Amino acid sequence: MVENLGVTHERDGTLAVVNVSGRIDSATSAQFEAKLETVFADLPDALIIDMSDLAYMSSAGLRVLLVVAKRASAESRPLILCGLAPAIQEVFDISGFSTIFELAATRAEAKAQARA
Amino acid sequence: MFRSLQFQLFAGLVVILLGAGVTITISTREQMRDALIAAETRAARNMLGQIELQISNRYRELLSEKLRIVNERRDALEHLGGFTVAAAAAHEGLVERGAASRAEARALTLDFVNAVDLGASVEAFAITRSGYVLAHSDPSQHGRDLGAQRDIKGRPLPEAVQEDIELDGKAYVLFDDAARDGADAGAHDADGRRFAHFREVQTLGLYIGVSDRIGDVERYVETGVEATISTLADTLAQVRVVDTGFVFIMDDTMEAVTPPAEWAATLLEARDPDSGLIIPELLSLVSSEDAPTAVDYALPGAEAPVRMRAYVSYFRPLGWYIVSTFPAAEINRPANDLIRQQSVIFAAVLAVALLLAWLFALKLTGPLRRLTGYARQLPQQDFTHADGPHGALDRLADTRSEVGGLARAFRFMEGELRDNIRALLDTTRDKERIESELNIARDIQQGLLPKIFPPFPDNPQIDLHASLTPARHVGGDLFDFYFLDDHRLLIAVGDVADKGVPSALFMAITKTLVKSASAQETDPAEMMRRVNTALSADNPRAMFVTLFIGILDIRTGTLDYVNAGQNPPVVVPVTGAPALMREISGPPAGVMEGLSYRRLSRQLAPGDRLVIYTDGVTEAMTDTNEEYGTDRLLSLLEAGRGQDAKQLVDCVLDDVRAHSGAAEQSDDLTLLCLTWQHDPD
Repeated sequence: MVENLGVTHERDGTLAVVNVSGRIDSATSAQFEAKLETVFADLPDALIIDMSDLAYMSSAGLRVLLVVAKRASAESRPLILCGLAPAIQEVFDISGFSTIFELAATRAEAKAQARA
Repeated sequence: MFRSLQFQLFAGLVVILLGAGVTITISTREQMRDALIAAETRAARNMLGQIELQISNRYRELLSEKLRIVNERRDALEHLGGFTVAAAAAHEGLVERGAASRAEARALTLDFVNAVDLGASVEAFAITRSGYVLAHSDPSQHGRDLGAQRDIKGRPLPEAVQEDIELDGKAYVLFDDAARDGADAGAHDADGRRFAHFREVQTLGLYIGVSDRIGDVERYVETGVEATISTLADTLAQVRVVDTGFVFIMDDTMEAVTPPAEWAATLLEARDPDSGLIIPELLSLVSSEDAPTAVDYALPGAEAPVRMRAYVSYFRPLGWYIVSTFPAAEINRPANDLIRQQSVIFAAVLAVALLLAWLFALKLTGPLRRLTGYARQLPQQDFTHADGPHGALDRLADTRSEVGGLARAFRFMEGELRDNIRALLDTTRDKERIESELNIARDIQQGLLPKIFPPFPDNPQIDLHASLTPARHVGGDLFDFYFLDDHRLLIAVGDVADKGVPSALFMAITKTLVKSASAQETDPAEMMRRVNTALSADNPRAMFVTLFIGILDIRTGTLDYVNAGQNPPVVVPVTGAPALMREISGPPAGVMEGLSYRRLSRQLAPGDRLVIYTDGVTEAMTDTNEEYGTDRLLSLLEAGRGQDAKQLVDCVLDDVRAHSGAAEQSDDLTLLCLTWQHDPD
């Protein structure tokens, strides 16, 4: 089985940018969750999750995002998702997650929003 | 058999033993042969030396005996001579005293000599200075002139006598009186040699002599030599050089003193083909006095010439050639015999060694065979029980050899096998237990869902069918439907995030919450709000459920509903294409506390069909991650207009399964189909 999920984490100043690629489903969601946990080890001012390279996200992935959102909210740190592909945007729209997450079109916009 | 370790060990030992044996035999063979030949040669030479020594001793003995006899005789002659001279001296004294004339005295002396009898072969005589015999105890000798007689050294007798007397006062002369013609001369033998003692009687002008025959002394020596030869012949006839070789003696004239062996009797006349010499001559040519000399020659035989070797020694005093000779081939025989004997011993040792090697190989491979037997019966062991003692194997494991190491490895392997199998059994038992628990959970979960279809057989207005297929034993999907009152039908379809046991628990809670909320509220939005509040209240893992709750008034066909993030349901209208109900009421339940949901409404026409599904349908994947998709669902629903709810559900499920093919079902899969008809009344 090919590596279905890729998660990289970089810092732009006090911003944490996580780039996620591949697929997030039941099989990979735990890995996704674990990776995001590490981001909170060094608490950023804001967390941006760039999903430009993400091909698929199931409800398991949504749940992980929700966990992260709750954590970010508890720490009073904004969480911004950006670069949602149309299919994923659709998932967000269908599930109503679009209304509870802060979304941006591009990473640059997300950074701008985070610093605003 | 030939590939077995035992055979290989055995064969290896055989090869080593044979190799060592053959190498030793070959390397020692030449040395041994040389040593044996040298020993034989030495023996032959020594024998020759012994014989020569024996002969020379015997000869020396004879000579010394001869000397003793000669001395004895001389003493006797001297004594007798003294006696005769004393008589002559007395007569001389008469002349000096004047008692007698010189002539008278001389006559008296001559008479005395003539008359004297000294016995045996001793003779007394008186001669003039020129050698004329005046008187002789043997009357036949009277008047004989010995002036021409020469002594053994070739001097004329009178001169020799005079010379010695002048020097010493007496003379001893040895002469051969062969010219003497006496009757007694031929009686004994032709030997006329005599030994004479002379004194001078000055006054009377005489030499008084006493002589004795010495031929008997010579004869004594000759007899001794003959006896020696006879003894030697007897002795030498017994002597065997090497095997059929022999020792013989020949003299200067190439005549045999002692004969060669019978089988080589022709040796004395035969000619050596190589040198062209008569064999005795060849032997005599190479001889030396100092040491035995070796010579090879060929003795013509009946069929082929026999190659011979001889050691020749020359004994000068007797002029004898002592020859030790034997067939050259025989000198190798002791060496060959020894080698043969050695080979036999080697073969015997080899046989014993092979037997021992076989036993050794057997002993060495025995433990391996025991190990093999142990390994063979290993699979029959009951590994679930604790390890017991193994008897022979334990004893093997105690030894320090490589086999012991192997045995220990076997024991270790068996122990590990036991542990692993026990662990595996434990794991399997755990797994089986979990499996059985999950099966029970699955039954319980399935029991939560309505399972009697058609659910409302008496109600012609509702054609409803639903199916739920969890991806695992238990799943997070749910559906439910029941009448809230006579004409209001509640339908709910939900999908808990993720799947498996956590989802299943959440699903059960959700279903219960929907049920209780529907008892408390009439507005589906309120119901959803209650469900969300309850689910969000204590939700550390941020579990959530996408949920559709609809309430259909079967009298009017009005559908009031809330959609909390659930996949948009499909309406298949009697007229018009199937369409998605995209509007949503809010986020999934459990996401966030305090959310309120928007109530939505849809007016159904009689015959309109409502299809609610979870993402397990539209997101069903092929093994190349191709989604089933909404479009395919819509076209299938369009095509399935004529089918009833059950047929359509089965049709969609079949199509989804066909799409997934061999790929594992990735998510729970739920489908609910409802067709509403107008009340016929």
